[in-house]
Amino acid sequence: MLRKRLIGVITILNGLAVQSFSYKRYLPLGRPECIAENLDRWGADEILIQLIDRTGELSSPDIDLVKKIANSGISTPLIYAGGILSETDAANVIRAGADRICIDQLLNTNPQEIRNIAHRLGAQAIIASFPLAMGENNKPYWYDYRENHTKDLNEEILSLINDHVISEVLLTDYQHEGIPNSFDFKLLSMFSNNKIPLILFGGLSEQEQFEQALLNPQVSAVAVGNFLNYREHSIQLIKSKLDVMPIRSPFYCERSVI
Amino acid sequence: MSQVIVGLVDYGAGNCNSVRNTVSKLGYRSRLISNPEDFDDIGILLIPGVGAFSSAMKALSELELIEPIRKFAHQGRPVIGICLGMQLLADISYELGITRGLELIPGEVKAVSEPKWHIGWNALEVIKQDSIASESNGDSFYFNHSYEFMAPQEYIIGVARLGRPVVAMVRNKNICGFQFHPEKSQVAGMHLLGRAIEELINA
Repeated sequence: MLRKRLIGVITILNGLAVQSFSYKRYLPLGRPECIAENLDRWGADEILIQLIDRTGELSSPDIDLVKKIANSGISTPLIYAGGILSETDAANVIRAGADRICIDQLLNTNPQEIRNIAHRLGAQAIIASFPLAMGENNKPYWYDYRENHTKDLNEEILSLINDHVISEVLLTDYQHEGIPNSFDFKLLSMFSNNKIPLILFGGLSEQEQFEQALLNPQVSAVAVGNFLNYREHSIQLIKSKLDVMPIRSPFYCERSVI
Repeated sequence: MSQVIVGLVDYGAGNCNSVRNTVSKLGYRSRLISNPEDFDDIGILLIPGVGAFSSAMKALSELELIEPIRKFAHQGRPVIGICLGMQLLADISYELGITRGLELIPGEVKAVSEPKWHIGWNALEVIKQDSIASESNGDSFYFNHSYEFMAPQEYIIGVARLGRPVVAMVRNKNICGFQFHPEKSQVAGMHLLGRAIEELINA
């Protein structure tokens, strides 16, 4: 039986892992590869590294960082997000050691290029990132943080989903990211007419919300960032409270298992 | 450290480094194989891979690696394919057109249908007694693919359930394939890959 996943998220700003609060305020955590090693040791189902400074002059993937983390000895699947603007960028990230990529800017600037990436790497490698926010009329909107405005999904984006060019959507509650137990499930209505599997992120920290997420048939994974860094073995602790959920069981091991 | 050298076929499709790290943790030396002269003192060949079947076969062809890999396998020397690397062992693929494979394990590669892909951790269900796989029966491994290997029953060692069975492991004597990524499957993957290398080089 295919299990739903608990994804550990590492948010990276200027090469440093940070705690983020609604993507407005940040506190330093340390070296990303150290955080990745913890998540690997604790048994995260996937690790997402998201570089939030890869716009403007820095708008290309940080290949050296991908290599550093991938070669640090972790054996957990790695997802990379940040600055992927072309098929070549995507292929380079995979070659550097990521297993999957998360697309963000291209959804706004060049959706056709995402089809080229899918042709080369396969849809299973592509996650589309949608930061969402609730509008005044209690309706979710796609938030474009570069232009600081909200919008609806357009036909071109919907066709990427319906044509199976992307395999999953990373649905981020942008306003509640970093705020405990605050994920707004009304945001899911943005994709309720599509069959696309959803990864939920932003404000998920407590058992009740994890259960609500994991019991939703459209949700394939939950992603957690800040809340994993407060204590040792946080992945196992979360999983142990979700033992009746369709997730992989927690396990404890030392780093050198062989 | 073992004296056996594990050859990793490096044809630009996917990430040899993760497999190389795992092989190193298992106590083996490794060498990247990217030309026909690299095969001589290799004890076992690993074919990793991510991406499209046709691009991978094209890259292998351009590097003139197809015949050396076939020769290596036909000599009875051990070969392990991982994910796309397992699919390359097949006769033919229908991914983005029709492409001949390495023809080392009979079978065809076709698109995963409904759902369109197989992503995440799934249990290996061993359906045929096998010295490599049996100890891992029920363990979870990481899958990430949108095409699947359709093999005759006699070559299928294990399946994963995606509503229906999906071929997860195939074997033809000295040639073995994993649809999942043992190098990305934490402890369970390390144990299985370690056992596979050990069993095959001592067979």
